[in-house]
Amino acid sequence: MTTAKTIIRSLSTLTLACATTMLGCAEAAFSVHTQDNDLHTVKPTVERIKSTKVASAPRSGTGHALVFVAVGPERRVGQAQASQSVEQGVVGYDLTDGKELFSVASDVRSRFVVSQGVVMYREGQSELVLRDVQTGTVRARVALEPGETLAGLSSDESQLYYVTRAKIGGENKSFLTALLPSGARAWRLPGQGSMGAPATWGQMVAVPYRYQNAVILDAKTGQELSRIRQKDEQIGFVRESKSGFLYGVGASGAALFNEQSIQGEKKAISYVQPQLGERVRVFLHWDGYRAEQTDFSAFDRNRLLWDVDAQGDKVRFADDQTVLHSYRFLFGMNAKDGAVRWAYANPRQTLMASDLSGDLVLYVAQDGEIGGLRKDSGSKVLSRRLGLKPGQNVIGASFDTAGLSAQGAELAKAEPVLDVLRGIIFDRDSSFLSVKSFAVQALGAIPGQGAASELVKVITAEGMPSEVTKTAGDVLAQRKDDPKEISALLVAALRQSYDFLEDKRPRGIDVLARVAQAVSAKETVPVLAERLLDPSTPTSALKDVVVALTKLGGKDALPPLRNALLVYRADPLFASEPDVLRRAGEGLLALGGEPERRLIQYVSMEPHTLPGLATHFRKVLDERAQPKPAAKPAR
Amino acid sequence: MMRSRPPASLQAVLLCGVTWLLPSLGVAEETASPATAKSAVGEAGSQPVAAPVLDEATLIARLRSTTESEAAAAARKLGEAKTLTAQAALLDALAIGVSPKVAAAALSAVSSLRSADALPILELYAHHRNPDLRKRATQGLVALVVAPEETAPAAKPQVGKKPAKLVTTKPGVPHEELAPKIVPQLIASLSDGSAEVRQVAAEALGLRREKSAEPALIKLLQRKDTAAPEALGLIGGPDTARALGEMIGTVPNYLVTATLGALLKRSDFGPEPVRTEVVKMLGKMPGDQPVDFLSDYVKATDTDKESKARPSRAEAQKIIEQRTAK
Repeated sequence: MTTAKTIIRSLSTLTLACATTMLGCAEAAFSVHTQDNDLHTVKPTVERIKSTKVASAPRSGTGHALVFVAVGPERRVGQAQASQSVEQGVVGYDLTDGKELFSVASDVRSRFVVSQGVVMYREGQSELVLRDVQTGTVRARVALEPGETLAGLSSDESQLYYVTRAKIGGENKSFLTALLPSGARAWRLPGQGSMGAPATWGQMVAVPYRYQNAVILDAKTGQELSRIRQKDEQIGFVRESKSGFLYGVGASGAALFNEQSIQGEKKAISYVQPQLGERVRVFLHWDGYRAEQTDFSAFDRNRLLWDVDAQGDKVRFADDQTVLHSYRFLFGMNAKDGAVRWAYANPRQTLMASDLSGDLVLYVAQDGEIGGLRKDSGSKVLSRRLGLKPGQNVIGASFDTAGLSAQGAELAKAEPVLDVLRGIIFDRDSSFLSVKSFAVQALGAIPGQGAASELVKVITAEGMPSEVTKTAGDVLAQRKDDPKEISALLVAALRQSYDFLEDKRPRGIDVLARVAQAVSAKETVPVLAERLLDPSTPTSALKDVVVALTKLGGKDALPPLRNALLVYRADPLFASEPDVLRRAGEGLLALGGEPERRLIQYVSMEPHTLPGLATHFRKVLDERAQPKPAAKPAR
Repeated sequence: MMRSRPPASLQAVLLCGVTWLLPSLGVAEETASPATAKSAVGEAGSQPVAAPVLDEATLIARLRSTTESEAAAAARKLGEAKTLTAQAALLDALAIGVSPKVAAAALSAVSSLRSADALPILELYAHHRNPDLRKRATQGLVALVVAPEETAPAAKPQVGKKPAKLVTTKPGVPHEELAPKIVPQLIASLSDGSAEVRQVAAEALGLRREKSAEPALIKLLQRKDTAAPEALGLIGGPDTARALGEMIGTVPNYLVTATLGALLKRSDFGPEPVRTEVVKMLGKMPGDQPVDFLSDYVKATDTDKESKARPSRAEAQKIIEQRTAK
């Protein structure tokens, strides 16, 4: 009897569990027991996304495109405290009417989110403030719970959301909270482990969770709708797009949330990755798990602006274009091959914030200029200016500009890409090293001798960082120009020597030699020979010259290699740079015949030869003298 | 003058590879046997010199010593020997490579021989990475195209101070036929990174009165190089005087003054109106140095009636009186 009761009780529990699972709604949001990658829950959510029409209108509800700008003293690296004498604050600007709405003092500590007449951000250490978008007056203040850290903000047309994290009882806990525009709490959901910054779309909220999940919730109720898990990469962020939610997959790609997402592997989901070239660090979106990225930082000035178009299960970058923002530069990039379609260099001032808005690229510069470029051409169509107080700089900005489009005449046509890239590379400000390298790389994709000539100038420019010249060499070697044109450029560049009268010194000889070798420019052999025996050729460049001569020179390379080896074989100067003479000797052995072998033998035996060099050549000669293993007889 | 015969082993190194090298590690000893070591000076018919006291074969063997000082001393002695064998041994050593210290001694020795056979080796070492060796090789090149009396080491005048004695060109340039090849190299050496190399080249070009070097020497002066004034003074003409006028303020006064003084010392410098202009320019330069130059000029022109009547001399006297009266 007891056994029968136990069995019946067990079956009842099992039935309830099965029913609960099948219904899929019994688990609380963020429950560790919730099934992920479950088509039964994902499919309805995807259907809901597809059937929802999201209005392309500002979230403020005013119908006007607004920009909210954080201003204050310039933040310098390593500066703990902002200058007290310069007022920090927030400025509201109406782009539609072209007027400043308000400017109020405030200690802004995060980006801004907007919903139904209020703009919300973190003010000071532990408070969220909601201000009227028209006047800047405080509508509400929401204190963060003690011990909680703000991890991200978002909003939609009716609510505002934020994620906080705390360590409670030694465990990581996270909380997703929804606020009404009045500041009243709509709901608050706890979760075990880490949640990242939220995103919203069509009355839904998405949150990256526990590094591998993305959780979609109903915005009104907070009920969890579905959860996906990426098996092979981390999910670092979620964000909205024209086609629904996107989630970050690994460091350099993103995927659209759809039915394919349940596959959980990069190769099987609707994944997209920009092709920007190997030297560009891709920053697709702010890292949802890094609390410091909720505030304005260098990441706001170094990121990729992008959206996607969905076609069935496939996604691609909208218009096959992305926009790369790096400090004061914007580049319209072909997302397929990384070619630069247009480039914009803002004069002197860093662009502190940027965003895509329809067919526009919007930015706010450090000096208070709010500008707009056409996304397809880079021509300037918008320029407004904030009235900053003395000492104030723009710290960052957020845009609520959905529906804004490029209207009116162009203010300035986009400059030719080659000119902009040249300006970037030769800019005296050496702090933009990565941008310079990127610009050099972009030159590689521009056809014509002009770009190749610029690359040679980069290689031989005074004061050019070695990283940039090396990149220029690599790019030049990979170009598909007429070999004769490249050879002519290389020969001219390799003619340079130290000249006291003209105050000139050779630069980039090593890089030029490597390029000559890579493109098989045999015409450079005579000038390479000159450089090998030129006292002004930097010692560090000699090895590359010797290698290039050996590769290109044939018999013509023998005299310079022989002279270099004999004249310097006993010179202590080369004791610290033994590779040059070793390579010269090996080159002689490779290119020459018996006389050269005997020469190397002599050098290896003559007592004045640098000991390391003599030993090396003895070893090389011994190895050459070893009988080669007999070839296996053919069967 | 030595007999002109290319040393066989040097040619082998430079032109034909090194087929001779291994079998002839003792080549120097073989070629330097007393029977073949003849005095080249004696053969050329000039004043015979005493046979070398030291055994040449021993010196050649010592040239290969692993003790640097011994090898360098041997190189110097071989230079003094002035025989073809000694020359061949020195050139061989330089061609197959020796340490910088021994190369320095060998280059100086080769320079003293003034042999055209040394040209390829001197050209090679004129581009050596060691500035001292470049200087010595350049001195060797100079020795081929400048008369021995002119290249004899003399105390270098302190810049801004007048030289003790004006050097004049004399006949007897050893290898004038090599000048078309060597002079451009000397002009190129004015661009060298070493001030000593530039000094050697500038002096030689000045002594040779190489007008083709004038633009480079003007640039050298503009680069504030102390090697320029003397050489430019020996070469310069009216254009140089005009260029000097434009350099006042951009080039240190002592260099401009030294160049003007050097120009004025030349009896062939002119015409008279230009000489007068140079005198006036010197009069405007500060310090005692211009007065010294002008006084020398007045003394130098106190020879005949015609010279005494020069307006430039009268101008110089006037300036001297004005400046010394203060």
